[in-house]
Amino acid sequence: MFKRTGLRITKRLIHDVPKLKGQYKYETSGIEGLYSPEGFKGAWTDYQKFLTMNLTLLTNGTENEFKSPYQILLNTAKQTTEQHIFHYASQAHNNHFVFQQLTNKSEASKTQPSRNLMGRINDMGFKNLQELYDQIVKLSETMNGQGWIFLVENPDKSLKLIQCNNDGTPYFYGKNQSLDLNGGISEQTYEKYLELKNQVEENSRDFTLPILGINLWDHAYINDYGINGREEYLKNLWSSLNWDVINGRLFEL
Amino acid sequence: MSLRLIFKRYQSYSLSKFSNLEELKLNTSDFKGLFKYSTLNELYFQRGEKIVNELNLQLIENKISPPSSLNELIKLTINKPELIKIYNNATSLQNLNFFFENLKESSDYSFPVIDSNEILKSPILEDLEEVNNNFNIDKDLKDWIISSFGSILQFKSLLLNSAHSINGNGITWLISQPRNDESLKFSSFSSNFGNKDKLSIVNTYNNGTIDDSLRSNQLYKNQKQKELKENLKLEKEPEQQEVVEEEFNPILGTIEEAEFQNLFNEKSIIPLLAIDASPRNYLKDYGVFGNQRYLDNVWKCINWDIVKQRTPKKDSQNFSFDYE
Repeated sequence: MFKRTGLRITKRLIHDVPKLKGQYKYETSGIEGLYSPEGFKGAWTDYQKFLTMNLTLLTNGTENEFKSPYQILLNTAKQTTEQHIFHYASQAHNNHFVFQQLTNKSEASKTQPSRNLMGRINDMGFKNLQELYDQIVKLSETMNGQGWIFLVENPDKSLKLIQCNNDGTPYFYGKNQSLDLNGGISEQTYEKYLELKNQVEENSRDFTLPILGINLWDHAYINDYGINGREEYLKNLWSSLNWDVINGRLFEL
Repeated sequence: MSLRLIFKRYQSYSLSKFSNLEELKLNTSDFKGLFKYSTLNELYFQRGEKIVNELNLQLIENKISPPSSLNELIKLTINKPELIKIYNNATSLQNLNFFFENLKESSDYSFPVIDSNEILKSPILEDLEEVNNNFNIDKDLKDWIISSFGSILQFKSLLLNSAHSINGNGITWLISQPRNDESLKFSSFSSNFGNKDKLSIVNTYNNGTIDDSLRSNQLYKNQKQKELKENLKLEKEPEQQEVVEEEFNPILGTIEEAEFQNLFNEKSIIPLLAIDASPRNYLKDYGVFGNQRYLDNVWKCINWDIVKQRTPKKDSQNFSFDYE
């Protein structure tokens, strides 16, 4: 998923910011309806540079040097001594994943979820997209810190929403980081904890694949929406989603 | 202690009014050495107001007449899962107040654009003596810091590196921790400086609290509450009552039990200094690459007089510094 720049002479690999479709346009005029050029620079160009540069420095000369951020995050997720590397890999992958599904508002409005996807969303209990959005907003309000929300596909092809605190990844439930046990523990969190405990006890396999990602890190909205602008940002993000990309992430029969 | 749920005149909380910040707001001027005015306004005044409003609204919604101190409210709500929103807002407000209280303006800073080269910059090697000599604070406090951390430079490095290691939201605290409690009796550090309180540095994340005695037992209490609820349900429908066989593991208990047994009640931890390392503090003025620069500036802006005021009175009087 990530493009890496190979330097033939030194035979080293450097993680770099992947080029987005429409990157040049975004750099000069931002993503219409979502980011100004400065906002885009902060959320993508600068932040992705920050992540990939740190990833390069940390993986240089190690077995992870030649791997993509996706491979690195899977490789390091279970290694307790490599969590600093996991952070950059997981963040780089998640951020890229989210930016791939964004487009100008006018183009986004021409796209819509495929019948297949919409059917699965209905199966989750949401009558329409608005209800899914409302649920995402509700989840975002329960997240006190930084994080991500993903719509993921279960092995049985059903969909569910998961919260990932901080640098959590949607690919492996051991590192979803959906529990925030730092302060007071809500009933909701406790239920989730029991669920997780069950999964571990039953040795259940949790293969989820993300379909749609929402970035709730401050980096994603602070330049354009301010420190307290998460709600406004979410609203604009929802109308800048390129559903064609999201549809393509589901396996069509 | 329990929350009084009787309808009384609702007390509401407000954002602390610090005279230095109020003056900056009046003149719309920068917090010299740390924040531009617009950032200060969003970080403290707007965010603070938002938290205060939500907190007061939730207190009314839950018909709670709160105690006068925020700390008490935090203590009362942390173990009540249904009041989690109040707890979260109370903690956010408390942390915001605490952080801004221990800041003061320093020399001017011009906020240059910080680019990706910042990552590749070699760290500046600071001189032990120079850092020590430039650190002009109350002598008792300074001696206490040196006896706890070795030197001012070591203290500074540990404090700022701890803050830098926070990726999401979080706060790095300087705390005073009693030595004569049970948990420290077996610790290898306990004999070094007699029974004096010891200074330590801890990180908390999101709405975490430094006080483990508050934080512990939560899973256990959640479990008990759930059982209570289920029992109530069963009492209503007695015909469905069944004996539920509990799994019994003779060697290891459950996490909840371990948590319950690991009591921290003897500890009373006093926070002296808070450094908010959350990205919202540096992203606006310092940019994505500016975390380290922001923390270096925070170091220059710490108001040590306030830190001194927060130290426990008794200990600072009894304090004697034995250095060998």
